[in-house]
Amino acid sequence: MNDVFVWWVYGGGILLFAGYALRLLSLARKLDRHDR
Amino acid sequence: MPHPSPAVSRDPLTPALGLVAALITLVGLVLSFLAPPDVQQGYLSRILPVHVSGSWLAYLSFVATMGFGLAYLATRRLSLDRLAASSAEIGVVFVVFSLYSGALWGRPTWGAYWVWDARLTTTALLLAVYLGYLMVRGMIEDPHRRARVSAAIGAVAAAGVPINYLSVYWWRGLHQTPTFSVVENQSYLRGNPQLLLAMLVTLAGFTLLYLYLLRLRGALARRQAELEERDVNLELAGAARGTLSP
Repeated sequence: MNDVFVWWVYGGGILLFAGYALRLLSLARKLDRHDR
Repeated sequence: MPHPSPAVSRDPLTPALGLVAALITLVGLVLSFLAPPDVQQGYLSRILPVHVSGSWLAYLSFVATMGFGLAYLATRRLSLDRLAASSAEIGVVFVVFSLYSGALWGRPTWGAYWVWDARLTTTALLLAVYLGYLMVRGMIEDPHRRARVSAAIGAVAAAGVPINYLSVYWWRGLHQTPTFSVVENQSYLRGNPQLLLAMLVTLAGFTLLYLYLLRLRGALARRQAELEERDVNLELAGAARGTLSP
């Protein structure tokens, strides 16, 4: 039963850091467009 | 992990750092699952390595923000201010993860996702203060003025780190005392060496992840500043041409 919470922590953590990586990626693309 | 900026992808150390960070974190997570369950917490103890490491990295990020800010004040180098801001932003991500993982640990342990315990409340305050730090930066255009104000806020806000760490001793709320106690010089995990190892490996992986993100975010901030400066120079040159032409 409690294992569900463990999986939510791991899954949510991966999503959170992936979300931050995507934010950086989108910032980089924005800078690339601005640079051209 | 992607290395999106051309400025970053030319630097071989950053992607290598990201890869090593991901591998070591993965080893830490696997070790957490191989460790025997804690006597009191059962399998929920698998949350501890990531929760505690995330909280420590939030501390490290905010102390580094103060350090970079003070270094800016001493040298007036804007690259240090950019690193301070990058570190604060990464710290916000880690503190969100700490609150999130703590809430999911608290629900089955305490019966509630959130309680107004001193540790939880000071963590939420820490998050609010650093979100405010990032918002204030967005409101000041002059780079040196922004850096001075940010360094001052960063230095004051870092006081929240020891307050947050010691809150479990000062107010004796629901949150347990630190898993690694600097005050008592002992660890809650001394009876479970496998989980302790998992914690230390995860902490190493998260530390490398922080360094990776700091390099990446710092490089993007530098590029952003260069483009802003170029735009300003182009505008000034255009204005000068307009003034000189008959």
